[in-house]
Amino acid sequence: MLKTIRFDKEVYSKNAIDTAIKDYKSICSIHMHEKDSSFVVCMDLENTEDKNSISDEFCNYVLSLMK
Amino acid sequence: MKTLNNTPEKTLKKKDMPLSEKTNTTLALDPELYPLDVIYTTAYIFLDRAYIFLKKDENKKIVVDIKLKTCNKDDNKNKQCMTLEDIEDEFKNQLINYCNHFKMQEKNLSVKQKILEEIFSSPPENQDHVDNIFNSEIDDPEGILIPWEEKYGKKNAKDN
Repeated sequence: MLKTIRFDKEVYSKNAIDTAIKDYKSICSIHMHEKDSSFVVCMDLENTEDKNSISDEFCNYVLSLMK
Repeated sequence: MKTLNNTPEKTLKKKDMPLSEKTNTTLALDPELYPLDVIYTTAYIFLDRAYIFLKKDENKKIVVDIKLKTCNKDDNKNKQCMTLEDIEDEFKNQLINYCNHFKMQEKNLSVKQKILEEIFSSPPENQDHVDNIFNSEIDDPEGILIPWEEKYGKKNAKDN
């Protein structure tokens, strides 16, 4: 299951997303690329236990790093 | 038996549902009224109770997606379980709270800077004055300032 999240560049910083990706590397396969006005994060949730909430938790984590 | 596909529950659109039955809601905030820093700080305090996602819409407004986290019994005991309606109302209140906090912080910044400048730029002769205060005799009728060893002697070995 591949999940794609688009983070608006005007709202989220690249640093916060990079840090979050580093911390989530041990949980799932994850990478980011830039497209137009967004940072696009792709998460491969195939081998993870909680598929539904992991991407939501990731978004919360990025937001917590923005503070 | 014929099954009814268009039951009232199914035809009822999600946005028409009462807020207490919904699990997610959105708020569109004007960034001129609520700066991004205020929104980040407000969102931060709700991260344990909801999933929050921010984005900008075509009108340059900040859209806050709030999705309720599932609540377990332990949370309920600790009164951590809130309905979506509660969270939305609380979020709006906290936005005002943090707007006020940031405004006051901005307003007091110059005063704080002046106080710090005053402290760090004090001339050296003032230091003598401060030393004099600390070295002068302080009235201590109950002997509070006398160290324990001086007052009662050294501790016995068995006390240790």
